[in-house]
Amino acid sequence: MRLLSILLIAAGAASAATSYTATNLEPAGSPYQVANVLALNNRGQVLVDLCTNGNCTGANRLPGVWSNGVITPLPIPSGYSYIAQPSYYGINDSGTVVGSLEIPAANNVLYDHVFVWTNGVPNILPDAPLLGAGNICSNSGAYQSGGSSISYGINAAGHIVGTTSYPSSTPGGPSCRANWVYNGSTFRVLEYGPFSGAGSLNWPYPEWPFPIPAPCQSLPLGAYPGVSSLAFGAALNDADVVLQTEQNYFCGPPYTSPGVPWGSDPFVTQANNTYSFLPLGSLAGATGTSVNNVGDVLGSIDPSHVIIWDNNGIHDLGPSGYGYMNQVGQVVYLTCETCGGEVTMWQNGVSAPVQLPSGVAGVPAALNDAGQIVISSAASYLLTPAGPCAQDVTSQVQITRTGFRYNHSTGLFNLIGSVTNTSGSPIQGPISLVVDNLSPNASLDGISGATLCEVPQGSPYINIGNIGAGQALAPGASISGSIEFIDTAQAGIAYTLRVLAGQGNR
Amino acid sequence: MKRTRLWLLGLALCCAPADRADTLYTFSMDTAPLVGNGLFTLDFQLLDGSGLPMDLNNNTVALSGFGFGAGGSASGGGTATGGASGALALGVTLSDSSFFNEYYESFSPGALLTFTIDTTNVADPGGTPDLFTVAILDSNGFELPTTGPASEFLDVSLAGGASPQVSVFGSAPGSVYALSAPEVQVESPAAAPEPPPVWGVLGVLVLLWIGRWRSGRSRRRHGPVTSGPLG
Repeated sequence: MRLLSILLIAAGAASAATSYTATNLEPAGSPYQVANVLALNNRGQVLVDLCTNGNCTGANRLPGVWSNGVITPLPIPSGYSYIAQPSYYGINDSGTVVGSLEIPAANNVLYDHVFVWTNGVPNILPDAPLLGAGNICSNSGAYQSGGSSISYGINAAGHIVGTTSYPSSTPGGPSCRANWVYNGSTFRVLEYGPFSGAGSLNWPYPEWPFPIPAPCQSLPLGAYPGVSSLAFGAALNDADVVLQTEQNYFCGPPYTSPGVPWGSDPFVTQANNTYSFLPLGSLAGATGTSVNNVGDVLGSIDPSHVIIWDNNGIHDLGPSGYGYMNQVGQVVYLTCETCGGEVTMWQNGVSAPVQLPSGVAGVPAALNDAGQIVISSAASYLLTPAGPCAQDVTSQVQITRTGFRYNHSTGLFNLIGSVTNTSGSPIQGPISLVVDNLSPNASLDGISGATLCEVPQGSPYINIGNIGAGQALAPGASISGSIEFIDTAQAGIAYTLRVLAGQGNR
Repeated sequence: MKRTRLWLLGLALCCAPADRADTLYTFSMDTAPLVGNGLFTLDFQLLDGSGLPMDLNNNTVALSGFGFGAGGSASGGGTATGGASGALALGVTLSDSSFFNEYYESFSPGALLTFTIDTTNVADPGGTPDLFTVAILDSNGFELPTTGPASEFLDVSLAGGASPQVSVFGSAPGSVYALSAPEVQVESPAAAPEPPPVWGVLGVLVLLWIGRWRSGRSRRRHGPVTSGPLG
């Protein structure tokens, strides 16, 4: 929920009254059937859960990538089995897929491991190193041996968020677990210091049986925000900010046991490991689902309501479900699932129904920055905003680049520059600065959308100069300022620029 | 005569600044509004245009002669990242040997912050210039807000051409500390602090080739006579 301080931009808002074209994700004659939709990237690639020739069991169930009408199954390494759990899978704009597979151990217990498919080739990630001095995890003389890991997602830079647990070293003893972020070479294990106050638990924490947080000893019966021994789920944005949800410990005899009503609170951990709980307002508790690059958070409460946290506070969308959020801050969701729900788009506090093409029905399953939506039911469809394309006016402007500066206040790299209308005619707004061919390690922050109409597709863009539809940039006039990039590795930012103008899809 | 001209060519390529003539600036900034408010941090950055190999290692900015005015001083113990080195007390050098090159060090402000900037000005082939910036950070490590696009007081864009593009900015309206934009004056083109790598290497190769050519001539002179030009 960071306030943007970009001088140059004015966030654009894709109209919710968009019409769509629908593409069936099951190509005619394909041996594969889409059982579930797992994720969607800005290039329009859909990560899917597949059945083969109508068989959804055993080796016939596997993940795959749908791209431009072609389904390519992802190979499963020998000995492993696919886990058909959508929250364990993700795909980024490079087409890199992360997921979790399971394998039986010698004692016939299934262990999960995280795999990354790069260009379709799977590679296993090691389990996070939670063992060793100072940690409570034990793997020596183990009752069960070895760690078990699952993934929750992957960001643009290929960083992965997940969790690893290690079993008890003795029968009935505590197992332990911690969430982490893997940057391709090292694990950043997420800490849980605050939850128990004084005498807090160290990470990784015991998973079972849950120890009694110290503050519980002096608190009346109930669940308390910040008094917890467990954090579950995780989502990651491009700045390596992690969204997790803590499950509050139920204080007071019998302290805790399955079936006791737990409260839960989402919290956000920054890349420097500082954390903050999201305000709950009048909510008794909530679960976090996703966090975008500007800090908007999507979550839910039970009974099912979609909840959004943004700069304007908490938004409870009422009885609803199947929420998906993009980097633009749009949320697609289903209203009132139990009473004839309607696919709806929310943005900036306003909800409007999505006009589904004829013959398409179902629930939302994904949303990308270009405004494409996947609708899933008996069949799955990729909905693409229809209509005319904006005009490429790159040849009508002069783009002057001053250079990059790192802003300590925001943690972002500013690209300073200007765009000048060098044509003899006004350039109609909105005017969008498109960043093509961006280094995979970098992301454009505070985007207005992603390109859809012209190649390259899936490039992020920012509307510049506060020039809306019906307004224009006069001949000779300039827009100056900066756009911001995320580059957590500080490895460099290569790109090309394109300028699109006027109404229509980008 | 020809040999003399070749030597001159080699020397010129090796040692002359060519189009990399440094530009020397003096920077002065009224920091009196900061006096008595604890330590601040001077933040110098030289960011490469992309971080791609073709854009790296073509610019250097040398900072020297730091003065802080009455009551002001550097604290020492700065932090250098990438191609940055030095200290406020000794002088700071930033080279674009990596994408992100930064030096920062805290200081106790006096009335007037002054120093000298000696910079090369070579355009990056990738199209985005290397950029040298100056900012002041507060005790939390955040930039004092300015009217600059990235909260900086000075931009020196190394886009090649006759001279770098210099922009100065003052404090943003409503800032806790109202600082005027610094004054940055061009002193003179300065001698390049070191030979430019590409031209220098080319110059050395020319000199070596001349030396080799001369050796060859010498060998030919004393060895068996073969066909071919004698130079």
